[in-house]
Amino acid sequence: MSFLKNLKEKAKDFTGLGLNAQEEYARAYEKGVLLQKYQDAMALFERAAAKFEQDGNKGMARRARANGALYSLVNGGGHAVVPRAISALEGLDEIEHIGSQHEVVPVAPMVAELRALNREGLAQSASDRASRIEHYREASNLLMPLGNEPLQFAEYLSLTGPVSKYSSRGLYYLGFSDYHSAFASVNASPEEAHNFLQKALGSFRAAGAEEMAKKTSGYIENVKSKRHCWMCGREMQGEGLFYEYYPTDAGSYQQSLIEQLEQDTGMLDREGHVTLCTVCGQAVENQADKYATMRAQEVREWAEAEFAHVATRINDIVEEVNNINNRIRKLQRAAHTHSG
Amino acid sequence: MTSPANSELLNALDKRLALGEIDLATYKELRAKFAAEVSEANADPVGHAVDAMPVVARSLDCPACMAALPLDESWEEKSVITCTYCGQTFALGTAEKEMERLRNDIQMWINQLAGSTATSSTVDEASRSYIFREKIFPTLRTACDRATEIYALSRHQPLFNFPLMDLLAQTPFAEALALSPDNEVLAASMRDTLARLRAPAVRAFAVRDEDARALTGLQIQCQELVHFGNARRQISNGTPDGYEKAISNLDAVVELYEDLTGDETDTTRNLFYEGMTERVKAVQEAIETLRQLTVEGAGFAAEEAAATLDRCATYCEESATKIQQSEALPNIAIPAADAARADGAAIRHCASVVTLYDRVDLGSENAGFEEFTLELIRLIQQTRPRAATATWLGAFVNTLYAHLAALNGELIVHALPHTYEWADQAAASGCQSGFLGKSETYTIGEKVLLPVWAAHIRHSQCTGRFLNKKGQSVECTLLLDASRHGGSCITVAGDAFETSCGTAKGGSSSLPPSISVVLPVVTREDAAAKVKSHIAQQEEFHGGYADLDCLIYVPAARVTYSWKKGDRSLTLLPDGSALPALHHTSTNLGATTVLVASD
Repeated sequence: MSFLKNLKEKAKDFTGLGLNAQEEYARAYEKGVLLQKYQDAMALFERAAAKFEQDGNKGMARRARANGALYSLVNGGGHAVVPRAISALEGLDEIEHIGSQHEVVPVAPMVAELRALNREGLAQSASDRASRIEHYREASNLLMPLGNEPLQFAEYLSLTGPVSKYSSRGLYYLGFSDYHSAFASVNASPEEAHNFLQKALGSFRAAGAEEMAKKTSGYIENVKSKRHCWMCGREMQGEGLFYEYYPTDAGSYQQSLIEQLEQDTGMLDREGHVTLCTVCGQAVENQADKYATMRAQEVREWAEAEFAHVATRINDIVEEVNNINNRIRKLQRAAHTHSG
Repeated sequence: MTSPANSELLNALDKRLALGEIDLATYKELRAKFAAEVSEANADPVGHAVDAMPVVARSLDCPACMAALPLDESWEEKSVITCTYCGQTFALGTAEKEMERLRNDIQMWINQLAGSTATSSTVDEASRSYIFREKIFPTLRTACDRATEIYALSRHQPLFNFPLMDLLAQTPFAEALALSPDNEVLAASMRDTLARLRAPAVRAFAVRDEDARALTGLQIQCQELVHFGNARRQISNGTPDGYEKAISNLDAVVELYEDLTGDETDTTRNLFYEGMTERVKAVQEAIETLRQLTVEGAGFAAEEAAATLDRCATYCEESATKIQQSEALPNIAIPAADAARADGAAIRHCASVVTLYDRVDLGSENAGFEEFTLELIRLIQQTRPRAATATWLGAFVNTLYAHLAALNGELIVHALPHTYEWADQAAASGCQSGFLGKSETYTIGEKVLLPVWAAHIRHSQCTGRFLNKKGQSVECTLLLDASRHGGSCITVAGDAFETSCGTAKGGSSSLPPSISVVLPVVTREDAAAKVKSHIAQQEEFHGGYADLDCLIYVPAARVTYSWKKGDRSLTLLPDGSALPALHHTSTNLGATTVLVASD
């Protein structure tokens, strides 16, 4: 009897057939998670969930499904499986630590992190700045209260940027929110954009995101600078945005004149260039384009008339050549007749 | 006598005193007399306004850094003057000529802008205010903006530093120092502008309070660069004289800030400058404490100094909050608040060093803070990682403090029993045999207590084969050598040793004076990162994770194995596991000898 029971147990263990919900759940660890076969683990957790449901154990069914969703993330499912993991985890208080069968951890930080990562994914794929700003800000709000613990899902989503602390990641997202706010506002107010970029720089630096900090510093340099326009005399903020350096001939005489007149010496601070506001600069460019187009048209008309005249002459010459050829051929034929 | 004539007389008096032609007593007497007459002459608002600014009128600008130097009695006896802000020397005559040139230029400029208004004594306030807003201020603002724009990044950057910070790869202060403008370049770009901003003749046009404050705002924009740059350069000298000059520079800035605080009509600016004033004053106090420690050495109460520094750090942190809450323009307030926090952090590190100095047995009553700092610098040069940060320095100083206190029996730490009976057996089992069965011989060398970080690892292990293949959860202890930055990780083998480590983690003990104890140099943060990276690289820990527990001192013995082809050395632990041979040097810190391992 004992031998048969043993045999039956062994057969169950080998094949996985006839396992109850709890045994199926344990099998998901033994044959899946703990062997790093996450694809198998996902299927086994799903089977365990179905059996728990049949038994009326909704709590464990939900936990098994949540584990299935978590391991689909661990298995390289990427941002696409994050929403499923969030909805699977919601409503649970605790769950096994990823990679462990027995250690349980609270679910709330996991859900907050996943929500933030989901927001990050949405921000990256959003086409309009307003959505990006909103998603990054919300992602930051989700992570900031979680403190200095490391992110749990960073390695499975191949995240770039800081991942060693929730707070650093939260600051990183806040930096992006301000960074995009700067670009959203720069056309209306470079000063406001400067403020946003400065906030972003502070957040990136505090988060230890040096590359983004460097990039933001570069934009600050451009957006904060002010110059007067040589033509209209108005002060404009934002190099490349509201004023540009245009090539010109300006030497020491013009520089000393500007100094004597107590005007903005910055207008001539780049050799062979002068600052013009984009309105004046584009007016000059547009007018120059207009003249250029007009001149090109004149040249085209003149050339077309010339080409037409030349074409007539060519046709005449071709006709004459053909006539000459015909005459030569006739002469050749006549010569052959006489010689024959 | 008319007021302009009086003003000329007063100016001439200033010059004669500066040139040493009259003595101070005569100067004071004559000045009081003429000033009283000027105050009675109400018909000349411009002249009156000019004379209402005696401090400016009686100052001389340093030709090197453009700082306004208040007249000093000792100038009467000298022809060469040393600037109290930048330390440069200059001839009084040359400076006076330059001042004269600037004064004339300013007068010409005012005449050009204001025409007859500049010379008229009876022109009304409304006209002067109009000229100020329409002509003077826009010109000055543009000139200020252009002269300071490329240095704007360094404007409110960190101000506090102490010699140990120079050993670090990168600090916010070092960055700020590198960005601080050179005085010569700065003087070339803003000398005329700064002179105009300070000129009483210009101030006379800033009739309304808000105009005067706007002018002071521009003055701050320029002078912050001068004084903060000077302060950073002086404090980085690390000498008492440098500290004194740094304090003078910060004093000058505080004076300017105070002109802008107390204005209830602009709460944003008020709160910002209140915060900045608190920050600069806290840094000043911290520098003064550092100066006293350096000058007075052993005679200075270090415990009190550490408490003062801690308080200054707190003030800096509080000022950062105030600056950020001021809602001033974020492009100014955010870097200023960040820099205040960086100052707070640096001051707190300095406080930790002073606390260490207070507790270390210096071995001599005359050993001062400067000598201690030099010894500590030598120690840190041996123990720092390649890219040492301020966070590492702070953690290291705290670890060093705990290590020294444990060596003196004042503090208990986690340590295994310091017995070495196991060494012989562990060394014997590590002997390698040759082809003909001949085995290495060994000698047991120095026995030490080695600091290691203990981590609890949870991972999985495969059991069974084919259909019976299963994974199971496994837990183990991992030790990371904390005495070297390139230290190895070892998995604890042997149940007895693992149990001992577990006991050590739970219990505590003091360090025995009879045994050599190696100093830990790997901080908790670095250890956590190294352990994480180790388990990610090891196949056996795949899918596992670690919790870093605590620092434990474990007994270790150096063993040299000899064979005819040569020797090899290892450091063995009680379970027989081997680490690369430990080489160490002894460094004195006061009367205590510290053992430092080398990679």
